[in-house]
Order: sequence, then structure tokens, then C-alpha cells
Amino acid sequence: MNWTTRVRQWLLREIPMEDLLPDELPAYVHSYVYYFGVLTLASFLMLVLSGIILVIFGPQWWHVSAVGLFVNSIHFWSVQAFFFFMVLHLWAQFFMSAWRGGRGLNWVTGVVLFLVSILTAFTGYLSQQNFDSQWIALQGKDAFNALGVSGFFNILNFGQVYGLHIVVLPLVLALLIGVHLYLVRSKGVVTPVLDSASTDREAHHDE
Amino acid sequence: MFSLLTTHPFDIFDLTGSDLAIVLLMVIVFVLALVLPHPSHGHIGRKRS
Repeated sequence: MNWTTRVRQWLLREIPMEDLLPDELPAYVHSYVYYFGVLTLASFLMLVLSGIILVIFGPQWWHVSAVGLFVNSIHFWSVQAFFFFMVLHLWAQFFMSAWRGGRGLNWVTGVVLFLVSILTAFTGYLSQQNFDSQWIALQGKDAFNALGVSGFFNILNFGQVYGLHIVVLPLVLALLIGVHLYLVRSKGVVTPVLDSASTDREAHHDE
Repeated sequence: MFSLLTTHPFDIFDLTGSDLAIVLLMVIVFVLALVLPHPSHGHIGRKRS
């Protein structure tokens, strides 16, 4: 058996399609508290789409044209929605102890996603190409100097910051989101706290 | 129909609650982008009259 066969069999075993896009989920998922994750994901998709348009036409376009301002504003409000729903998602998962039942790694990927999102938003602030971004970069460089990272992450270097914001960090986010969603699907949605006595792992296998 | 979450579809277009929530989110973001544009717009590139 060659390695492509082994990989295919592993994928089919670990990620069956009926688990990736299920059309039936436990009744307790029918609650608004479970919407926050998918709304964060929807905000991320809007960020990527509006970001691609912004990258294609560039700063001169988004600063002077009406359509550019509109797409820039969509990118801006999508960020607000992204962090708003991400924090609600974080609180919801925290108060329902969503790391129960072997879901610890999913909690960890969520925390890393939150931190990488903050870094992505920060490099986005620096990529606005206006006086705000210049001010933030000049003020923020001292913090990064104090951390000792400015040797390889210089926030006054626009090319580096822009490259991180539009290529590297979105790819890292997309990869981590993929892992995050895979872990949700592979373990199933966590049961409510009061229902956990019925051992949620078995409950999901019975779906 | 493709849907990201929930078990109980609404009767309209066979959409689930999360599908409708996503559509509502997109509408809200579009309206906000129209009525409350990016706050730092115009610091560079604004035509002075």
C-alpha cells in the first residue's frame, strides 16, 4: 500500500463527509448560543472577499473613490462583527466548559485563533495607508522593541506588515479554522453542562 | 440543502436558523458600510474645497 492510499483511507476514516456537513444535529444545538461560531466564520469569509477586492485595486482606490470607500467600509464592519461574535463565541464556550469530552485541543486552537486574529487586525490597522496607520506604527514600534522582536518584525516596514496581513496571517487563520472545524465535527458539538452526566461522547455516537 | 448548523429548517427557502443569521449579518454589514463608512477615510486623498 503506497502513501497516497494510506492518506486517502485515513481521510475517509477520520473525516467522513456525512460528519463534515451534517443535516441533523442534536436538539440542544437549536439555540442561539450556537450561532456565534458560524457568524464568526461568516464574518471571516466577508473579510477575505472584501480584502481580495481591496488588494486588487489598492490604497489609492479605497481612499479616493466612492466604491473603494464602500468596500473598505465592508472590510471595517466585517472586522467589528468578526471580533464581536468571536468574543461571544469565546464566552459561550467558556461558560459551557466546551473543552469537556476530549475537546481540549479544540479549545487550544480557538485560543490560538484569537491571538492570531489580534495580530491580523493589528497589521490591518498598519496597512490602512493613512495618518492613523502611521501614528499607530510609530507608537507601537516601541512596544515591539521592548519585546525584542523588532529585529524580524519591524512594524515600520510597510511591505513586511502588508505581506503578513494579506497573505501569511490569513493563510494561518484559514488553516487553524479548518483544524478547529474538523475537531468540532470529529468530536461532535459539546453537550449542555446539565446534560453531561449522560457522557457526551456516547450521545454523539448515537446521533 | 447546504446548511451550516441547526436541525430545524424554516419553511422559507428551506433555510436553517444559522443560514438566516448569516444572511442577516451580511445585510447589517452592508447597511452599516453604507451609512457609517470607515471612520478614518479621507485623512489621505480627500479633496479640499
